[in-house]
Amino acid sequence: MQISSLEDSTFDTDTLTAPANTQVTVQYLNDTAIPHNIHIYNGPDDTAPTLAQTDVVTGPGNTQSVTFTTPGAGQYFFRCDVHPLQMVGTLVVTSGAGP
Amino acid sequence: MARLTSGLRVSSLPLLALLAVLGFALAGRDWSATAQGVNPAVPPEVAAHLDQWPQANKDLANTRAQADGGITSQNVSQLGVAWTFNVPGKAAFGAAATNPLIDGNTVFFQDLQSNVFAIDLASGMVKWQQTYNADSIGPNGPAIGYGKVFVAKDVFTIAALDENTGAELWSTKVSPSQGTGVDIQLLTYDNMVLGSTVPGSGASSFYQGGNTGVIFALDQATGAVKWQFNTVDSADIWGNAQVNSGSGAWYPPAIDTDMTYWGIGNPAPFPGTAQFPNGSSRAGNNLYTGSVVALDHTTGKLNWYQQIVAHDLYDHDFQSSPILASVNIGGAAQKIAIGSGKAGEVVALDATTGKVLWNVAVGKHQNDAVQDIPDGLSIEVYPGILGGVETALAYADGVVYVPVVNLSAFFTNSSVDGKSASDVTRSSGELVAIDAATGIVLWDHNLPKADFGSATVVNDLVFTSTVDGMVYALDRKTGNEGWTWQAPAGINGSPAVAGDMLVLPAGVGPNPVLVALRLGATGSAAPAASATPARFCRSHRSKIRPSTQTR
Repeated sequence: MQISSLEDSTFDTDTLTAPANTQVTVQYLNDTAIPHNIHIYNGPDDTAPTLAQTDVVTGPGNTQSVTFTTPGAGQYFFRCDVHPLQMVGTLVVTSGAGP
Repeated sequence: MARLTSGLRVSSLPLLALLAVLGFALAGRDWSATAQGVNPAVPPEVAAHLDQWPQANKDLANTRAQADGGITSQNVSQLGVAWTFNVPGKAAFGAAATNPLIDGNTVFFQDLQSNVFAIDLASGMVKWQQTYNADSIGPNGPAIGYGKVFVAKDVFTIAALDENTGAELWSTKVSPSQGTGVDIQLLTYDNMVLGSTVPGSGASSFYQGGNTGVIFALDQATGAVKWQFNTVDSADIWGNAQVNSGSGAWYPPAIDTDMTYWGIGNPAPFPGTAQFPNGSSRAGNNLYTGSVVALDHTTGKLNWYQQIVAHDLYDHDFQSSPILASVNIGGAAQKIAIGSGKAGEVVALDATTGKVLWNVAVGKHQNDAVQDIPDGLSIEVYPGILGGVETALAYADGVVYVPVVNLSAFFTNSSVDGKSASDVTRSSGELVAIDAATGIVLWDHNLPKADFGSATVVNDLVFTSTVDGMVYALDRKTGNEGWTWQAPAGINGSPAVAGDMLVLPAGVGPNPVLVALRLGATGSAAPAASATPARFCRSHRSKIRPSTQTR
């Protein structure tokens, strides 16, 4: 899965999709000079435990990767920790795959 | 903020703040006018007197700029003493680490025993007083609005007083423990009272493990807590809640229509302990210490943060009230937030995203980038625990004015020599003017002693003061001295300015006063034999005495 910040404090998509119970890698490109990261929670909001997160980095051209195993089917909240109100989205985990 | 020592021992006195004067502000014309002039969230009393000094830093943009045409370079030499008010309440860091407010014909003032006074602006006569006799290390100070005056009645509790009588209407305990307290001048906005706790409650009880600073918003009508934001991002305080503490805000936020902007204090222990030298008990960046945080004003939710000082070892808060301004960058108007603090860095951020636009070091720097002090070695660090930018900046017409303290501290990897670090006779100061669009230093005026007096723009002048009680009015364009005046006591507070009057706390030393200077006044305030203490140290708590006024 790939997601980027190409302009100011935004993600280029607010939705990521992955199959359930599968090891996946998120590649996050920060192509701005503003510090950002991606922080994925194991639930619908930021009160849930962390599922995966990258370091906060500035760009441009800075790519961070994080590998994790997706949970069961459902919708999972993600955000930038530095801009938690402005940069948010949903990881949609679909059924049909798994061990 | 700082820990200081009293006497010869290094103790954990949270200090700096003490010196801290609270902020005042001026108005970044465009931003403040927009934020307050047409903003129904501004309390009626404040909105009615925006041309005076109704908030700690004058306006919500924290500009500390008075542009009413009253005191100028053409008449500043005519300032004389209109009245003085003998400040009764002394504590560890003097009697007056605050910014008085001017609202209509009344001056609202709080001393460092938490006592609150409403004083007639013209005569200096006390209209009412509310006596609390509760130690505050400061800064502290009132906020007004909705027919009330809001103060910390002690380090644990916020109170609302009747604006006309001083009678207490409600009180709310905001500190969850003996190890946290309130050291900030409050601010009112949108029917809320805004403030913060810090990880300490007195000169001998700071930075005990497990304590963190929490920003709060209270309902102005009832005192009920509307929201809170913990300025430490981890429940276990970066991995060791038994040892670590830190953060909190020492100065009121800037506010635009929706967002509040706060400067956040340092982590502790600093630089470490014998068991955990060099901050090793708190691995990582220690968010949100040393940062600016932008919080939604209705919910307290974090909008963005920008950390300027990561994993600090030297008590380098980023505590000054951020200033909001609109400047032309690359041909386009941009809203910026300008912050600073004890690390001696002035930083401009994109107010929308938190992106750093420029970062300028001011004052003397030495060894402040060292992150690993070897065993057995003592190093001299500039800025020290009472150095850097201690008090409020000012902004007007695209220029930021920055008060600087040059005072070092000697650190091993587990201790700081508080005696020398608090010896202000070793200090010097500067007032620096910086182009807000580029970060270019326009001028740098040296001062013989530490500047704990903030910067205050008054028309074509910028005022500041030093710890020995000397007050300076400099030409804003050149930095040349246009006027000086010796106050009767040392100064670690900030003035309010309105019309032909400047109201200034001078609270350091044996004879603390609140002084009102007025154009054409001919009174005098007896200068202290020595307005400069050798060291900031504790003084005995004093009882309220009848006030006296001179004219």
